[in-house]
Amino acid sequence: MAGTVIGAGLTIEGDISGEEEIVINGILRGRLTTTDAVTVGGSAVVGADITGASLSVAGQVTGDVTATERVDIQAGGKLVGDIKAARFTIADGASFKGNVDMEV
Amino acid sequence: MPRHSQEISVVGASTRVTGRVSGTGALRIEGTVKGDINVNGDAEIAEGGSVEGNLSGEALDIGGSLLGDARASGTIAVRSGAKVRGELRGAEVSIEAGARVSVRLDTEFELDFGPTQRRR
Repeated sequence: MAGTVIGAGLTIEGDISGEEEIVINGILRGRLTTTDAVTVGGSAVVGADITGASLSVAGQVTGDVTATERVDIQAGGKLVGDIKAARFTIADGASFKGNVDMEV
Repeated sequence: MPRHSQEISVVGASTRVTGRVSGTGALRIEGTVKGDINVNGDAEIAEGGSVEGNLSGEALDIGGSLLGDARASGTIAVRSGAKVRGELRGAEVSIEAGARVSVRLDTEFELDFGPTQRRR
């Protein structure tokens, strides 16, 4: 189980930082920083810059993303912002707007 | 989404939240929150967890540290080992032996000793 879970009914206005997996199913406005994986669930609305090992998006994210490993936008997921990651996938049915920097 | 009210939110032990937390559903804090928390559900500060801000919810269970006011529509339980400084306001407040508190208590009932017990 993930270290931190923000449930679907919960709203956080501010910063989250940690050293464990973070799952967001609710609303976050602010900034999100972790050394582990970040999962943005289908019901989530995130307006935050995200830094983590990896990011999986099934909900909505507006903000710049820096991931040391990978970023995956799942079907139905929506990401608006610049991405810096070594690996990046956009599933069929996902939306994305922004720049990608794969550090080549 | 039908599962909203059943989902438990957790602030993990190595996670720090700075800002305002609000919404529905239960919340368990194992890490650190700096800011006000206002939930429509039960809130728990687990042992090792810490909150610097006002905490409000249905039933509150405090096993960690709270620097701020706690307000509950239901019960407030301050567990052994907890550290609380602020005001506790709830329908029922319990403080276990071993808790370290510096609080003002405000419970929502009238103390009625009846006329026979009233002293002059």
